[in-house]
Amino acid sequence: MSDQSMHTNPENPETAATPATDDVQERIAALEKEAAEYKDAALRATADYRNLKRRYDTERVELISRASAAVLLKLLPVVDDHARAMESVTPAVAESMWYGGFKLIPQKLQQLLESEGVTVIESLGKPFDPNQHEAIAYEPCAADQDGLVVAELQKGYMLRDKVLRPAIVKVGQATK
Amino acid sequence: MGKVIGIDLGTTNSVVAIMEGGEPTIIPNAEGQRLTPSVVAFSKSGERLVGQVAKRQAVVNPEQTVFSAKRFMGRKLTDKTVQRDKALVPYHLAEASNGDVTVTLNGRDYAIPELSAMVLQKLKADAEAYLGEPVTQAVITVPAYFNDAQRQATKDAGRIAGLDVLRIINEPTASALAYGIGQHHHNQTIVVYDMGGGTFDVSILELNDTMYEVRSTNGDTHLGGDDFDDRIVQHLLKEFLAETGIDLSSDRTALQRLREAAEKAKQELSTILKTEINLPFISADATGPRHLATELTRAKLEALTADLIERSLNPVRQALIDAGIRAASIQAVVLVGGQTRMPAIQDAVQGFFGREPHRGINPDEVVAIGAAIQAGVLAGDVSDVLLLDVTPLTLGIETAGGVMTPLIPRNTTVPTLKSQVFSTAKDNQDAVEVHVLQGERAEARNNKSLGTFVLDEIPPAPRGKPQVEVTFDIDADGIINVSARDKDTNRAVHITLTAGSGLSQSEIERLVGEASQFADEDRRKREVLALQNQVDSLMYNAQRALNNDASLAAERRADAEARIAEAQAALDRWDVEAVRNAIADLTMVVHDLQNKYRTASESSVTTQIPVVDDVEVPATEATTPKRMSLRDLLKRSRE
Repeated sequence: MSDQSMHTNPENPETAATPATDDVQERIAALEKEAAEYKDAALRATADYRNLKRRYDTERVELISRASAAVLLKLLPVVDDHARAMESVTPAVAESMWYGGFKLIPQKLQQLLESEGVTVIESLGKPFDPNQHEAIAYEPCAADQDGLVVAELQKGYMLRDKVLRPAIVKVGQATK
Repeated sequence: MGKVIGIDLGTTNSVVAIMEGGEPTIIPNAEGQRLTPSVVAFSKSGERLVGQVAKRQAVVNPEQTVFSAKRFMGRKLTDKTVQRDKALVPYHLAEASNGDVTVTLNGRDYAIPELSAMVLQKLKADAEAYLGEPVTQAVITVPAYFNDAQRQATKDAGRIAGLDVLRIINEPTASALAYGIGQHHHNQTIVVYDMGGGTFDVSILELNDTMYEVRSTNGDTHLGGDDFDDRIVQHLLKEFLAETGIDLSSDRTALQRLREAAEKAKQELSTILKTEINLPFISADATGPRHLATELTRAKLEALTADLIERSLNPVRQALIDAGIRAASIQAVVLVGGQTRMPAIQDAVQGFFGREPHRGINPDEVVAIGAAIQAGVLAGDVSDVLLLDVTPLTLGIETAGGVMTPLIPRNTTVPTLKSQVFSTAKDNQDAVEVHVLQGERAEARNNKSLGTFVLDEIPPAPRGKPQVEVTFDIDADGIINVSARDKDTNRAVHITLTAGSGLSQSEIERLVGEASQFADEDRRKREVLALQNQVDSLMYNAQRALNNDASLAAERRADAEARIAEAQAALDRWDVEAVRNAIADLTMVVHDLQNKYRTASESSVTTQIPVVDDVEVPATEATTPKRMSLRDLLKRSRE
């Protein structure tokens, strides 16, 4: 190291360059932080997208079956009304040709439902099960019918393995 | 931090939502429903039931089925409201050592938070099943009038259910959040009108910067949608009695059917003006089966329920008085709760405040959505980086025949990139003009032109053969880069545009509105345009065949020319039927001419006339390579 040296001392390069280097380092740090944040956000967004797509694909299949379930559910009150009509047929009407044709209609509807995977929930005499039955009232009964379905006010239906509409029932309550 | 869910823990029903991709989504429960009844029960066999399944056995298990537990949350047994509501519930209330309300079930006393925790547990489990990952944190909403003890009890319920409740927020605040009120204006006074199935709540909130402050609350704990249903049922009973002399009110089955039909009719009358109520075989008497078939109009429904709606305005008036605010000073009105779908209620609220209320979000779900938004903020999801924009209007280019071919539909989230391959309209066309358009109309000239550029030096080829890939690339700031690239030569040209410059929100809405106004006309035109390629080809082929056949009999020539002219006229008239006929006619003409032609000579011209069958019939616009129009400017310089 010579006192007559006219240019920057090469052994201590930092001395002269310090202020600028600090700025640059700061800037780099800030940029790195920002880049890390963006990267993280991008990765999250991609992950979210992938997860959503996966869920969408499974949901789509479900949605299609759910959509048909909605229509089938709407058909059930019509089935109920047909059943009510059939129940109140008088012997005179039952003999008529007209009735012979008419009763084919609810049968046809029944077939349609079955082909879609709709089955009736057999509830009478079974133990009350809130998964399949909706209780509307108690009915006094003998001891051996306690907790069993003693009356069915509206038929219940399954769509494949899910309950489409619960049966509306009266549950027996043994009189003590 | 994992996913944080937002929960609307309601008196009757609960809803769960979460932020996904920056947007709130309702999470359906295990049964596929978006609403879960807030009901828990212990069956005779000691089995714990939660939700819809618990509701189904309520009638035959009244003392062990707990509903509306929220009414007792955080309260002491000796509270006035508790004593009053106690009479309305069939389950047994008791007192804990500190005076808190408990419910005696299955032999032991349960604290209210324990029971609500059962509902929360089901919501948590169903959310985890839906999301496919564990959920341990939540934001839960409470009524604005809940005091400290009630809020703490709600937090406890969360904790018992295994949820870390990051925050308890007020239901009206959540609904304001859902509508984004306060995003752009930082000082606002808001009214939330919440009418659900059984209760009515009104809240007045003041938004200061980022804090929502509750100025006052009021309501009617026994006024809700169920009361509206009741009015219809009473009306039907009265009508039926008058008509048939039969009183259906003691017939449980008939009542059940009436109630269901009444609720359905009420809901339908929110969108249509009249509906039929059709209940065959509702009863029977000496004369035989009796049926109920009647019509209910919206006007009649409004008459039957006018007093209920008027009644709801009293708590509103009182809340304003308590807050010391005039109705005219309210800056935003929010509707919450299923019953607010009724037009008469919306009109009444609008009339009262002189301001259109916020709606559009499902009123049954809006509180949960607000909770999810808050949950998202706390989870660190909702940040500037993830706030994305959408293109307000459709972007596309002009193609043969003056058509606007869309590439990026309106309301597409940006940034986004979309490419489509186009081709030439004429043989040896050596340049294509890309005319970028913005708008919803079918014809290019009815849309806004954003810019034009030309891709030239396309090597000579029959029309339809060159592959020009047009790419629209929109960045997060809405800058559009449009490029056109010849896939064979790789020569590309592009242009940078700023879309929507000078288009205000109202202008955008006007343009979209115009498009729907002209929708029918545009659709008809699109149908014709879809056939245009085919007709053009046929006309071209027919004309070509005519030109090349000097020996054709005069009357056959005249006939062919007439059909070509008719095809053009049909196009000009936008007559779809006529165009279809013209296609059939011209197909026959071309076949005739070509058959005659082929048997007559073997010349090299054969390769230049595309056989009709090679022309692609557009199934949809998107499947046909579109042809570009050649402008005069290019014609002049190239030919």
